[in-house]
Amino acid sequence: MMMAKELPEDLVTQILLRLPVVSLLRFESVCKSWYALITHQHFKGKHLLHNKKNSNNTLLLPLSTYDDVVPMLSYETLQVSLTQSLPPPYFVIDEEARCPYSIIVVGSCNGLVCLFNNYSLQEFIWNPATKETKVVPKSNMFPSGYHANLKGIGFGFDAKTNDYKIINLLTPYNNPDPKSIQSGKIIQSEVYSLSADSWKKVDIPLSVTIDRYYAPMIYINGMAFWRAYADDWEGVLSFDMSDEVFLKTPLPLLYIRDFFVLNESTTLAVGVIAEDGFDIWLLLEVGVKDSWSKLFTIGPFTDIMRPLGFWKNGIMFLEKCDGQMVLYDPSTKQMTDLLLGHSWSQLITYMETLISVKRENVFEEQDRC
Amino acid sequence: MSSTLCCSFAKNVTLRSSDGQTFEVEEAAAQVSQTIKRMIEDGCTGSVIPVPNLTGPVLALVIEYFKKHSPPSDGCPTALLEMEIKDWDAKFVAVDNDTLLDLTLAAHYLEIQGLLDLTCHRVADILNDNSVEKIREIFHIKNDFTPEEEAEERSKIQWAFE
Repeated sequence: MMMAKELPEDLVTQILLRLPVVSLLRFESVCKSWYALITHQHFKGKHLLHNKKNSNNTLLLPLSTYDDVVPMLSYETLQVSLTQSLPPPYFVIDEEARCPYSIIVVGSCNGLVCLFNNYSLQEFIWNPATKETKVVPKSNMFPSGYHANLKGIGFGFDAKTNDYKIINLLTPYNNPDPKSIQSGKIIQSEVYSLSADSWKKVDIPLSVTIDRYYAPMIYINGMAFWRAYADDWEGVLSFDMSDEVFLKTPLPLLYIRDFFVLNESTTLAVGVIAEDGFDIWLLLEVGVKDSWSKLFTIGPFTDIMRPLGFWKNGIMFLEKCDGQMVLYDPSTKQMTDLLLGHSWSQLITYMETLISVKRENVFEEQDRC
Repeated sequence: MSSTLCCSFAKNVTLRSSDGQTFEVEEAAAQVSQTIKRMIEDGCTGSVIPVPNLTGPVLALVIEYFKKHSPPSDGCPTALLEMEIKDWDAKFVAVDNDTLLDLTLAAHYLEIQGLLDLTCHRVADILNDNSVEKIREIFHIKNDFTPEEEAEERSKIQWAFE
């Protein structure tokens, strides 16, 4: 042979980075050196970065039916490309207890998905691409006789410590202060760290109300956001995954009837009900009321329930009154039916990854940094 | 570029493959390769530039790539031209597996980022479409797992093989 066909390792890496997770799992058994390469944390990180750079996004559209599946939409075509079954056996629950909202997809970050079983009150971290699941231990923050009502859940990544975290916002029952129960205000919060595999209490120095059914978490760059209210205030509550602190940002205007928190890739957006339509505002700096910037007004509409978020080129997802989703181009006012969705749909950006949900890997990752 | 400004005609360089074949190519085109660009800047021009890692047939293919991808004289590629180049690229890497691997190695050695992206992408597509056994064959990889090890590894992720 005039030329060795054996490819150097960095070239093999370059090639393998372009493959989907399912192929990479298969190719672990090609030979020992490929196995070592693909299972190494360094490669897993590079693969995720490659997917991020190339915007290999998928949209998750949880959960519309009684089936334990999550439809995945191609980001380009918005067609269902794959229907991912929820991880067994954790979701095999009594037929009688089955209801459309028994499993909540809290959010997705770096290809890991946080799930909450509304029935067993159990949280999970799930990697749909590798089919790995981590059952999150339940916290024992409350002494016996106390029960907590989980008002809000968040999931995200702490880039400072290379760790994944879940945040629970709770209203305890049997609280000495009956007023707080009555108002459903969140007065306790706890954070789970995947690397430590344990919960700890964090201070929530403000008293707000969140309704997790109608106000799911939005996650952007290390920050979880929820729509929140207090007696004299309404706006956005946010939690910084690295610094583990809460911030609240009041809405740009007073006396707003209703609003929706949207994901605009790098900044938070809200859709505020205006006359026959919605005003879309961007939050340029978290915690700063004056940094709200009005992007545009969409409408007038006759049949639109709420804005859901942004797609590409400024095109938005809207939800119709019957729960169906439509695409809306604010510049041309053109609307396209997607024939997808259900009432209170949620669209979550997802990107497949080899990153493991097992905590020993998180430690390895940390050691390398 | 400054070295060519004094001349009204395009300056050529000569590249020599591992088996002694020589090829003449415009200097600007050859500079699509970062490795060759550095050699020219280091003053290797005038004499023959050796490319010892590439055989004649592979170097001939790479030079075709150089010519297609040399910067246009007016400096601004049109959308139409870009589309034409994309089509040309797709045909360029629709070759047999051994030639494709040679081109991948050549792009790596000569630091031709565009060709490297193109070939890696094509190789990844081929990998994706093939079984583990076939991949070992294409890449001349020896299976160093024992049958027991391989069976165990596969059983852990049986679903990925279905």
